[in-house]
Amino acid sequence: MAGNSLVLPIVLWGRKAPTHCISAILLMDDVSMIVTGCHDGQISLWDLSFDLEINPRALLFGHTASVTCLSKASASSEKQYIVSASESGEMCLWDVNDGRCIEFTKLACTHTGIQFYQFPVGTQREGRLLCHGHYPEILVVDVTSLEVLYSLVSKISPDWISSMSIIRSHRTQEDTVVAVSVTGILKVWIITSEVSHMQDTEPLFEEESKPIYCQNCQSISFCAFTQQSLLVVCSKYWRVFDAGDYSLLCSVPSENGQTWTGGDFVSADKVIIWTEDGQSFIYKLPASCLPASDTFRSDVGKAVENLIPPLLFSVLDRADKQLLICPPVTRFFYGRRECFHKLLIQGDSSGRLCIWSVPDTLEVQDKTKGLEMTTSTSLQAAFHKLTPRPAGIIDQLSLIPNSNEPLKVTASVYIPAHGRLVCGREDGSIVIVPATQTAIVQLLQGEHMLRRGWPPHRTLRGHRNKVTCLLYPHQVSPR
Amino acid sequence: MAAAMASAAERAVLEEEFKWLLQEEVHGVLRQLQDILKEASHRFALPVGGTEGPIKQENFMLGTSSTDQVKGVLMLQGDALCQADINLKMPRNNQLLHFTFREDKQWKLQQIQDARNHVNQAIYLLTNRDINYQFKTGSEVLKLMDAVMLQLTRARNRLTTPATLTLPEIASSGLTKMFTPALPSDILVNFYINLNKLCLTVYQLHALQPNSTKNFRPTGGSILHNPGAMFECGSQRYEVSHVHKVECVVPWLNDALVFFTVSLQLCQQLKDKVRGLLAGDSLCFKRVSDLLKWMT
Repeated sequence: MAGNSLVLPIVLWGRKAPTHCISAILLMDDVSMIVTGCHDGQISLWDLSFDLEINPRALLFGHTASVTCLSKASASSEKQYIVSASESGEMCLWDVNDGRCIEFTKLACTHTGIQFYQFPVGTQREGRLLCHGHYPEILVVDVTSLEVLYSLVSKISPDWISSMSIIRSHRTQEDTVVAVSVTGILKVWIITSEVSHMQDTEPLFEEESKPIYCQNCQSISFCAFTQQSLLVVCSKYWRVFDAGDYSLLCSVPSENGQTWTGGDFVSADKVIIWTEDGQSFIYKLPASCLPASDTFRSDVGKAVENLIPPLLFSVLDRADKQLLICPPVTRFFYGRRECFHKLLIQGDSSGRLCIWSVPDTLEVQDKTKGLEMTTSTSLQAAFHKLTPRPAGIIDQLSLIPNSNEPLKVTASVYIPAHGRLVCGREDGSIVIVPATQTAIVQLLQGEHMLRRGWPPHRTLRGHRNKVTCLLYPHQVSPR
Repeated sequence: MAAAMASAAERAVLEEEFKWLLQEEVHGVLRQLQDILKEASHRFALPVGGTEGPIKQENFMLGTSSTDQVKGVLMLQGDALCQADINLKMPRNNQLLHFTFREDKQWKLQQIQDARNHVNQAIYLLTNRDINYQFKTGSEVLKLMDAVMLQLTRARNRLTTPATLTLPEIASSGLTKMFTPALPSDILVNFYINLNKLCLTVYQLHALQPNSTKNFRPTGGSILHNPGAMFECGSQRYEVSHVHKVECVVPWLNDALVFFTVSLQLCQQLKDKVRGLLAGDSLCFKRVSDLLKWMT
């Protein structure tokens, strides 16, 4: 839908919200909107109010495969752009204010992570997207044209990158990209302002390649509070490293067969790590991990088993344990604007978003209670709250006595040549209605509201069970 | 057949079957899948963190018949060619040219690394779903099978679909600079994996004169270019005069492809069983009616 003329589709959803099995989450910088991508390729925009009330606003259609990652794509607060990538290699640039797709491209490979960063180019800073995925390098992509400008490659053991973090050093004015490959090797690239400035840049080789023996790395985060440590979360353990020389400071294994799926720093001395089941744990780091303490780095060089372990501080659990068909997606966001919210946001396969607001001063929690969820809603819950209820296309013809729900439509085909919509229903009946007139009934008020059984329609009865498939052969081939 | 049956007894049977499916059958299939995929992963034989010792090196002879104008002996170590010995008989003057990789130079076959990584992703998806894990719904099983099948399909596609490259891309690939003695400027070389075979292609070029009357049409990307293909590199235009392709089957790639096919079948069969039960088709009734048909 790129282009100047905007065609706004209007959708008659019906009572049941569309499925939204969340696969990616993003919180916009001004904490006013949450963007979620799902396994079917749609992207949902949810408005977030000051008191953390969530309200789904729009559903963006564009991708044909599941959304793998989302990232912001603009720095300024006027343009709110995001970029999304899917399993089939599609990349889309969206304006989330009006839901327009501004740019679209398709690459041969899938991205599994994208981060927006402003690199210094000469005296200015230009926005770039750093992408990694099922290919052995990090691609630096122009944020407006979605073209690959250059790539960060490895000389030693080049392989797919699992996770990546960008560090800005105020001391040296250099930007460092730190990444972990699928074989557990830490890679470091240094991007100076000359590199970003060159046209047709040659690939940039890594500055350092250090095996850190981290298998199945899920995430890597740089501590924004101390600027001196790195958190690496793998599926069976999570570790803190010194960001200066990448030496190991502490390590925590997972318990009870749980799998860690990510984590982040919540303050200078606390980290939050979440699992595949949707539980999150806040740990207090030992003094040997804190640059401010006298015993910083006192454990460096010791074997993993002998490191002082962090203390479990608090557990964040879901209020209702609904049955999920795939692991939920959890991410921690630290708002940098007016409201310094620290939010843990989780989206799951039922189209539900849960938010925990992590207070700045965390007191020791009662271990059995944990930090309570602040708010939660789902697409279906939002649909239930609406009055009047969202209408389906032939609801007025599908009333069942003694039931609140209309008869379900189970198959349909639209015949443009005759302007007719044919709907098969779960009781075996087939209804043929004039398409535009039936839409008018739901959307507009008028004389038709007084007439019963309007629009004129035909009902065919013959099947005993729900209609599963309808075909109008003439539309497919005139013969 | 079973969807319309509302009888309580029949529904109870369906529920029992479904419980059995989620608790026993699914885990049996997943264990089989894990075993097969671990075998497949071993075929790709790459050490993890340098703890498993030196990777085995295998030699492959490409082009063994006496009529082949190109012969090559390639040494494959994991996902990289670590040595290449190529003999090329030039057609015009019957001159025999010989090239080898420069010392310590390796050519990485990205297709193999990608296929290996996809297999490992599939194994990872199955790792935490062993006998101790309780599946609560059929949809959960279907979603897991979809994710595993996606990785296996991708792994297979990486081996069956080599990259389409344009001739300028082949000329600037860095491979041309890896040989000693240096490749002459009218020879291009490319390696790739096609299905279970390691392939070596050699293109002999002839430079087009600027005042040539030939209609210059640069060729697009392709896995294998044909004689007559034209391209421009720098300020010089070329036309392909001869193409030589030799290949050799890599047995462990063959094994891996077989493992992919078997695993995909297992996943699909499990999906069909789960979907059937979710739709109300009883496996038990099907078997009984099959048995009856066989008996009568």
